[in-house]
Amino acid sequence: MEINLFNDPNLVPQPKDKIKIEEFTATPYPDRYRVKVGLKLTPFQERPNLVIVAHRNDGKQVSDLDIIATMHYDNEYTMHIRGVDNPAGDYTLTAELYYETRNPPQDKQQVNITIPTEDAE
Amino acid sequence: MIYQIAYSVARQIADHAQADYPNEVCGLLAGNGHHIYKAIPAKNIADQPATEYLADPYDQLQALKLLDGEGLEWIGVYHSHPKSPPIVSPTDIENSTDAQLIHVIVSLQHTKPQLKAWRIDEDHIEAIDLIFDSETPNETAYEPLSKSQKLAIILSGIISVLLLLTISFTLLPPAPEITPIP
Repeated sequence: MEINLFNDPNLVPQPKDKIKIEEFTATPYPDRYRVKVGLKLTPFQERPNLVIVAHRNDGKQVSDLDIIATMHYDNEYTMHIRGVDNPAGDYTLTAELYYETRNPPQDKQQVNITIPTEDAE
Repeated sequence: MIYQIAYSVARQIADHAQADYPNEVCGLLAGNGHHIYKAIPAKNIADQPATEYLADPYDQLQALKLLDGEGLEWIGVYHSHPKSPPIVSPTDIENSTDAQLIHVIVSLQHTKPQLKAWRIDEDHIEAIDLIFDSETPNETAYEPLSKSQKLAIILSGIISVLLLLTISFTLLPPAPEITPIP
């Protein structure tokens, strides 16, 4: 059995004032009603809280996700688009990272996605 | 900071982690200076062993007695992260009590186990580079003899000498009779 040594100097847990969202990605699933969300954070010494909200381009909120005291710095979630008859359209996903308060959050990032029409599949 | 670890010890830690997957495992690490060449497993008695560890105090005591008897230093502790990278977690930080001990974490997140060492001093986390000590011939070469082993060697030496003398005297020809010259 081979054993690897893990020596990545960028993955040292940091105090909470240095924690931010390092990478935020969103990819629609082929069924068009689900979105795969990737959220990579700075490795932390204290667990941060996360909020991810998805809005359609007309402002309607279609999905949200609250994570209290996340366990891992590298996270993947599946968000479900709800309350729409046809999910096709443009969406903005917003991720917020916070500790004591969300007003304001310690870090915030947005990503835009387009869910195609059924015909385009 | 760099620590050397015998590959056999790294493999022992990884084997221990894989044997108890998906639960976490833990144990003590011993050696001399910055050389780790002994790992002593301890039972994980945490309430939720899949996400935390708590070494059995009895196993810890036995391990420390063993190290004391062998003249080894207690260098650190090890535990596993069955499903996450070998990065020290907030729980590891909270439960860390001795900044002199290093924490070796073995991760089973990927196919090949990954090993990483850390020193936790309250809020300061220091990454320690591990290298495999390929020059460590074997564990027994470094193990000093215990008191009972030393006593056994001395006793066997004395018995051997006594036996040799007994056999020698037994095999000696009888002393010639001395007859007075008329």
